[in-house]
Amino acid sequence: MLVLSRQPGESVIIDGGITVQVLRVDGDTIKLGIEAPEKVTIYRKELYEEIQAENQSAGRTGDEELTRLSQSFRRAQGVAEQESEEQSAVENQI
Amino acid sequence: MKHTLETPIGNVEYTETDRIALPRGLPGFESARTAIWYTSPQYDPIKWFLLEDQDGAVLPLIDPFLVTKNYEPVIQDQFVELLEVQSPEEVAVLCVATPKKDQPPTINLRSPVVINAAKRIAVQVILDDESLPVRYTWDPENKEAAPC
Repeated sequence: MLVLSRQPGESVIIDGGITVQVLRVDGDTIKLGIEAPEKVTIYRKELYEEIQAENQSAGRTGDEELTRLSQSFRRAQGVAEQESEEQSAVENQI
Repeated sequence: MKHTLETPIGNVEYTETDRIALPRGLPGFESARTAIWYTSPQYDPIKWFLLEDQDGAVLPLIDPFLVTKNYEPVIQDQFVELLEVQSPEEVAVLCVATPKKDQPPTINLRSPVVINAAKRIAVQVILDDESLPVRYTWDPENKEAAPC
């Protein structure tokens, strides 16, 4: 890992197009300002890692659990359709 | 021409028209550049992204409106451009469903998969709205618990 010391107001430039500036240091919080081309995605790493872990977990489930998952959605869908049918039946009566 | 892919949900037949481009990969599967779009009555209403060269990973996707009522994801412009979207009707939004052992499944509402069906391009976006959970516990018995 490249380690650089920077003072508030100072920046680093990455790949000629991405600038990361230290805006303020307040105790153990550092405010960063990032300028990058629009197509560059920037996320808090813990959020990205959470989504990575969730995809990994979803993508590696066994067939049995996947069948159970589809059954539970199907049941819910059936219930919702039944409810809307009942609703329209009630509306028809009115 | 039909091809066959071995997956945890069985051997799946597909043609090249079922292939969807993933220009940004997927979080956790960054090297995946395409997915095979798959649906089957056996797993309805779940739809699938079958990933090749990812140790047989398959991503279960569901329509978020099955679990929430007022889900209005705001897709950032950069992704709208990436997906070459010309009109909102071209776009489908699906969410990754994660089965849990002996627990209700969770749905990732923060990071939906956005698909341009006509152009066969998809990207899993991360929405700015911090109120949307990555792991929304879907309890089919409790509709009122929906976060949006």
